[in-house]
Amino acid sequence: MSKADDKPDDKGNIPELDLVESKREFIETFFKRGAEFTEELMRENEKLRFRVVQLEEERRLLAASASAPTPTAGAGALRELVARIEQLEAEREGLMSRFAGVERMNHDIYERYHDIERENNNLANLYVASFQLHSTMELRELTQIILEILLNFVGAKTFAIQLVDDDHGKLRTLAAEGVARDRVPQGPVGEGRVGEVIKSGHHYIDGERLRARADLAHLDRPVIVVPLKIRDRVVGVVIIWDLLSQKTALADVDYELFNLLAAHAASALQGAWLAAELKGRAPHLWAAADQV
Amino acid sequence: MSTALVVEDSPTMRQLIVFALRRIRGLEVLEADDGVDALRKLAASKLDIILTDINMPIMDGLKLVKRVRSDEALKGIPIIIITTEGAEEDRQRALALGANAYITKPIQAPQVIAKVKELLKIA
Repeated sequence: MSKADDKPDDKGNIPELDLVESKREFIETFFKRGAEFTEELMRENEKLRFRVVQLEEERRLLAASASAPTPTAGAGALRELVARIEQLEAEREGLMSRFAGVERMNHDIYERYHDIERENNNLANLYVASFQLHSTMELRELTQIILEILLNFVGAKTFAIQLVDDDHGKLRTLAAEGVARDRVPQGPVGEGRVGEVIKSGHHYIDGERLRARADLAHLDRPVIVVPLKIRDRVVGVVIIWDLLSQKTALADVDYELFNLLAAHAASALQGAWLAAELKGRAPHLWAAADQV
Repeated sequence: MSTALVVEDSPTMRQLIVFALRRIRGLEVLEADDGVDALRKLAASKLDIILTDINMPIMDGLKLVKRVRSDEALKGIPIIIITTEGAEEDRQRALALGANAYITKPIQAPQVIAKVKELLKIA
């Protein structure tokens, strides 16, 4: 009931109040409001509980993140790790590059070692050949040494040593290996391949036939002719028709040996002839040669 | 210290082989002209390896191999054949008789040195 209803009427009488009804309404309103208030409190309580749970969760997360590296610290560590990886990569690249350099150097040293070994071997061959060529003044012994050099050092199989007989203008055979001495052609000086070598003073090597190893048995077709010279004068030749089967190609040292024979064998032979003449054992060059 | 015996009738070739072997540190080198001379040297000295030619006067290299292999006191000595004979049957024959290695002429010093070191088990 509103207060307007409690106003006195025109006669000044106050309307009779229904007190019971008023009390009832009051109590109802009171309890209704109390219920509403209680409900509101309960909702608020619920909200607060929810908030507490939320805060507790946040606190837990914060605590956890405090004990673990923080996102900022993680990013920093990651950057450090990336930098370290880059540094290690660079170091690895550097080491790989150095390793490749060392490998190249090793390879070069290995190559040089083999070059030196080869050179050493060649020099040993030349030294021994030269030493032996000048180790005797005996024509027979010297001729044997020349044959041995050709057989053992060069690997010649069929070959002969011929000297120029200026008096008769022809070649005479001093010694032969792999073929009977009397079978070796002793033509006039200046004929054929041998004649060309005597005229030019330069080696003749038929590389093609040597490589093919074909047609090597013909005595009129040598594969190698080496002039034996005293200064520029050719006094004889070494003629090779065939090489040992295992000798598949000429090596650098073979050319050096040909040069050595060209220069030293002739002078050694000349010395041996002179020695024989002086001893009176061979009054003539060809007599000495024929005794070989 | 090991001792090698070079058996070769050609002084030129013998000098070349000796020249090569002298590059092996601690190896003493003796020389013989043929198989008989080699047997004399074998009886007189303790030898560790033999390098022999095949074609030699008096006693050839293959006979020497046979003699060494049939001698109780010498049969363990390694033998290297160094020869101009390049045919496979010659190689097989020498190896069958008991040669340990077969090298054909012309020789390459590093090859001979390597084989000697291998058979003497030296670095």
